[in-house]
Amino acid sequence: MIANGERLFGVQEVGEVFQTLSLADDAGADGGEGEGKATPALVNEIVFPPGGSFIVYSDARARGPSSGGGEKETAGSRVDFKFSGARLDVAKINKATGECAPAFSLPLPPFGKGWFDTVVVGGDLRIARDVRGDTLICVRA
Amino acid sequence: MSSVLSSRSRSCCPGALESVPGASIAGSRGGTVRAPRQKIAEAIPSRRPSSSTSTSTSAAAKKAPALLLPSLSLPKFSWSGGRLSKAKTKLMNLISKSDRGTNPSGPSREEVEAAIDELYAAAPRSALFPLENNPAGIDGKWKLVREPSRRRVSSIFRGGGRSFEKKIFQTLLPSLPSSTPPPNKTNQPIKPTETQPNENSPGLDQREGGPVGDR
Repeated sequence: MIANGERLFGVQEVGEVFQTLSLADDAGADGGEGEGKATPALVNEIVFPPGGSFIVYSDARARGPSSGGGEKETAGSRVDFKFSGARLDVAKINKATGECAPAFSLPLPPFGKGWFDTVVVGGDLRIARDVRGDTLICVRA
Repeated sequence: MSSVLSSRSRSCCPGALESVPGASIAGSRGGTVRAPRQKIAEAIPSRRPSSSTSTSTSAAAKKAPALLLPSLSLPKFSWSGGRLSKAKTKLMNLISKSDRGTNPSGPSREEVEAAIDELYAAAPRSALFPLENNPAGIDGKWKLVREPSRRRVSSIFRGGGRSFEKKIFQTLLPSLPSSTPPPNKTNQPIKPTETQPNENSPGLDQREGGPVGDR
């Protein structure tokens, strides 16, 4: 429905999708205690050109090799995440001038959690497999 | 004579060789008979450390199997590492050929999927990208260039489509009420939802912890 909300977003299709990770702080000296952090460790952002976006905040944590419960594939490369919030930023388009300006933000409740394995990181490329078997290929933004 | 018979009878049993002290035994026919243990000792040194010689004691002979174990495990380790490296090289080559989708003769989605599958299965996850040692290695802002729907490939690779736009909400936010268009209500204004956070709600929670690909 959001993707089809042309009147709200002024677009007919979804734009870029970004992932912002900040795991270094989470896995640092605090031992990975990331609960309640003001800055989310994983942010998914879906952009609706020209000015709208949908942002999902998550708490993320790199799973250590000893927390896999004996499951060897969980060690080392896995990141657990849990959605902590979401926000829909709606843009208002001036039909006369074609200019876009922020209209309002709509907070939404978080749903879900999951994990992804980082398969490979090389240069500006990152490939990950997630809890559902999806493969995500990302480049540095 | 009785001693010769005794030695010969013991030579038929490998276990009894440990009690034979000498490398040769005087025979009743005037020649020397090489004990089988010496033949074994001549064959073993190439697989033993250099300190082992043909004149090894019985204690050293008992340690021989343990000394061989590390060398037996090496081929398995190197095979795994080589497989991982090969799979990674193969995938990187395919990606470089794609030129971010600008190369029409780039790899097909099947080739890329197969390379990723091979890499993913090549080694334990800890060998893929050890986050505990370098969590900042994946930090930063990333742009998704491959649609996250299962078994589908982005347009950066040959054969990619535009179903990304249709799949994105189903994959990233499957449990949000707005993620699934209700029939005949596609352009209704969005109202603030009163739904409270519920970890038992359907969606990703149900899939968490499940086997990969179990959908």
